[in-house]
Amino acid sequence: MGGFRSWGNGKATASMYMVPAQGAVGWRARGGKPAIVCMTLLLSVLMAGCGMNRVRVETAGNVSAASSAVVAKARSAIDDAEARRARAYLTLIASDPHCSPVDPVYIFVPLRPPVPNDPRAPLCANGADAVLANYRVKSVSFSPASSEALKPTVLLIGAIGDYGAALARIVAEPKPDIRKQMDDIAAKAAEAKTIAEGLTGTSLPALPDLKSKQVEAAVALLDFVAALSHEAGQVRDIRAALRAHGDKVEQAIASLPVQIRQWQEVATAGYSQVTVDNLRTAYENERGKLDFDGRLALLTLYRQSVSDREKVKPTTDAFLKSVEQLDREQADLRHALDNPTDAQRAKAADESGKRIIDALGLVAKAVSAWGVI
Amino acid sequence: MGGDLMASKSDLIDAAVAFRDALHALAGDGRFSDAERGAFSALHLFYNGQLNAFMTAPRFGDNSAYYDLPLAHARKGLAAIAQMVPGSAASQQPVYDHSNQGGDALEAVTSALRESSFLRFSGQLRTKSTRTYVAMPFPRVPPALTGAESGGAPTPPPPPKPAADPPWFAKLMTMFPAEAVTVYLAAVQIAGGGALWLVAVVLLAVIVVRVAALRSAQGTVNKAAVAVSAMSFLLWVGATLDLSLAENIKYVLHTDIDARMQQQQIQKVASILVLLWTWILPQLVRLEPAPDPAPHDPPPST
Repeated sequence: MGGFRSWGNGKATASMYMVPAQGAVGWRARGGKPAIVCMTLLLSVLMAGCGMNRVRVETAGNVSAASSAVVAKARSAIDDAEARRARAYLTLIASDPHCSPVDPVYIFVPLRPPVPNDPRAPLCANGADAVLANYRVKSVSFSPASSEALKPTVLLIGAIGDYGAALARIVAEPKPDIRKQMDDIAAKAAEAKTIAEGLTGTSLPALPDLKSKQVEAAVALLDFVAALSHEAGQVRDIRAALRAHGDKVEQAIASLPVQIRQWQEVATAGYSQVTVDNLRTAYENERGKLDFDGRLALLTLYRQSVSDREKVKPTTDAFLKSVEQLDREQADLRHALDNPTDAQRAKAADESGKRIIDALGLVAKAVSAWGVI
Repeated sequence: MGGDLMASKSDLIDAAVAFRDALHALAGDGRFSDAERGAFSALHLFYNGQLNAFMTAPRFGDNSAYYDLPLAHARKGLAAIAQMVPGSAASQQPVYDHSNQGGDALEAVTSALRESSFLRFSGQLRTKSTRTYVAMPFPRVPPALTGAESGGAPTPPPPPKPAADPPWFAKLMTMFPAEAVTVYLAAVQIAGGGALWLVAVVLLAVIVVRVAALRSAQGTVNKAAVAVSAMSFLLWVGATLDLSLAENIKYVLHTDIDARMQQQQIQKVASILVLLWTWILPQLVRLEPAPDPAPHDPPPST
């Protein structure tokens, strides 16, 4: 639109608008509210979906954060179960002098309740063929869970982790920085000019001033448009990630709580109980040989093990809550992409309104800076 | 677990956890003597070990009639604990029985897992999920399920091996739709030349025939094999493209290329694809759907 020309009294305001000049090549400004109304309407139409894009990117960020939390808690749950298994093993071996650090451990399992004057049976047997009346020998393994046993859980955790990481990458993509690119170009041009002047000994024409009002206004407007375009690209990528991972992740979200809850209730809680029992047995075996400090130290260990056992359920509950949170965020993302909820629409409308005002301001600045009005 | 319903893994785990927790509570219950609590502690240690092993390697998947027995022991054991009196051996005996027999019953429905097999390669690429290719080793069957101790319950049969995939050549022969080639050639002769509608009709027939032929006993269709057959037919049509069909394609696509040149180009590309298709695809597709790991559950025990 070259050849813009401002006619009038020279006191242009933002409330003016451009009309073709009669019999002349160019445009002239004419004041009035309709200009603002038309521009607002145009921008409203152009940016109707922009606010929703912001909501979509934000929701994807929430899904990513919730995924990370679930993955971290699930891994920690499995690590915790393994740590408690190891602790149960060590306390078992230490609790009874008949036990040796071997795996599996052979134990005497009673077949009937003790009667008065029954000798106290050792906890551990010296091999599978040991014999003790009213007891049988069974093996208990304390080996860490094999990778095959862990595979189903690890696959579920991996599916959620991959999805969260993919969304995190998309959300974290840096916005294009037009100002920086312009500055880089200007710096290179200035450098080239200096070299050229040095070589030729002549003075070249000055480079355009990038700090000028006009350039600043244009760059601000460009930055605004580039950010909108970048956001639209992010939403496209989020849709692609959802297509690639969505169904699998939603299945994982449904299955993982069941598996982790079982790990917690069976392995973590079970081995915590074994540790508590072992320390109690150890105390009962050793109390006669210990002084007050020794007994107190052992009882403190016992009390600590009881406290650790009590922490299993809150940890499980916290994990289940984190999965529920992820489930909610994922449903929100699906809604935001395909069928926004009322709350999302309201948030998007609010954001669109803000953007329209920003855009109007930038356009007004640009028009004013270039002397069109 | 009454009626005809099979117990689920989750039901069994929940009941066993409740029983195990109750045993643990007994081990710390001051109303019982040191000797009694020590015995409960040993029962807990044993039962907990069997429960952990089962959780990580259930032998019969998510649902099985074999889970009924350990489930019944867990529930009866829990009920027996509620009836127990300190110092009364008679009231405590059922807890000992259900702990021992329940632990053995759990062991009977637990697989002996192999170590990780990431480095093992079966020699064939698969298009199906890995679920069906995790071979389950022959499980340990303790006397509890074979002797009178458990009421003479039948010994669980070894799980079936996954069906063997036919060799490459057999798959190639099976997946190439020879019937479509003969039908298409006859139709071209009758119609006086190839045409896109003719290709579409024969392609549809190939899909219908293949869906019927590749349906398994369970009613599932090997979609990958059907797709390969359909694609094989299309590539064959491309590789042997006649001028009449080339003109038909040119008309439909509104291309400016000479029909003869287009015919040669399509033939060339399709021939290369046929070569690759013939060698690679049969290796990637399984012909027989692999069996479910636990389809051989017995009728529920009563």
